[in-house]
Amino acid sequence: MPSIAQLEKLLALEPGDAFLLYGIAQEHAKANDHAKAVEYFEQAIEADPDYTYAYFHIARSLESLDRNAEAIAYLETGHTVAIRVGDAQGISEISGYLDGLR
Amino acid sequence: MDAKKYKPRRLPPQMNLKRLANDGSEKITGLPVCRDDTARVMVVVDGKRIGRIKIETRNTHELKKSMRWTPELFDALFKEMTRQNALRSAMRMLTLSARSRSDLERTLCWRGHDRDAAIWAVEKIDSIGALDDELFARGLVRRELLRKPAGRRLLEAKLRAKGVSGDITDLVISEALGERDMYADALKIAISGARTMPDSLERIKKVRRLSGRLARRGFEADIVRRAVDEALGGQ
Repeated sequence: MPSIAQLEKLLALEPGDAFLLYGIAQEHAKANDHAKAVEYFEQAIEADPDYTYAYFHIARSLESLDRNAEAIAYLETGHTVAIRVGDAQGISEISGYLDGLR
Repeated sequence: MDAKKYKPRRLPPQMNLKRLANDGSEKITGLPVCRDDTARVMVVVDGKRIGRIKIETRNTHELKKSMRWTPELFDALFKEMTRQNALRSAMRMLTLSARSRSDLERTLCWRGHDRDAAIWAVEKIDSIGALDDELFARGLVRRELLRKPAGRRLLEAKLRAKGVSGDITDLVISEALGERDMYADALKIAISGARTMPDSLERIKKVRRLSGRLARRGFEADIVRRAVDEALGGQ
């Protein structure tokens, strides 16, 4: 995987790119820096509110930070978005995770 | 890889541009900001959506509604759009996995991007320091060695296939293998291979199979011979 520093440099070329923001968030999450990951996932969702996987993964990072109530709120929003955009896999994965978290 | 067999998911911009007469009779009828990307505007010519360009590009060419769509403007925007398209694809690829300069350029061309646009995109990314062949090579070698011990030849072939230069290949492999005992690595693979072979198998066949396995992992002939001899020592 590319390093976070490399991804940050790419982000400077294309600020507000949801895919890049999501990629950086994932790298922070892999490095167990969930607080930083949440920051980037939030930016990714802001840049592209239809990015269903960002809702799923921000919830995972929030759960790691013991912020379950916020995780549930994001999953609920993500579920609504997944239904709206017709993302069948997203609907299934988010609802499965939501059931487990509640 | 056969470039002809690959069908890009998104149509490149020229597909839209070809729908126009492009004889100077058409006009720009809209330049709305893209809903999902506020840094870009959609160029609309005679009601046909042509493609996205950066707001900077709109400003550079002083594009306005009702402006005539001339062949010169067509050429300039076409070039810009193909470049931006290649840059966007390159950034997507780099977000998913680290790549060398040459691998990135080759993959962009393979995916249907114009060669000049691919070169421009790689240079643009390189200019901000987001491409590092040495770092990429170190990562590839580390992953390969974590998976299974390997000899210099295999690592060289893998790096060569990714377009890493000879200097970087030599440096990275020497560093990675410098501390390792190649004979011990080869012996480990040979012993584990010998264990899975039926006792009834002739020694000559065992030697051939184990030698082939070690050679495919890139070990030198001398090491292969010694490791196989020792692994089959009692047989």
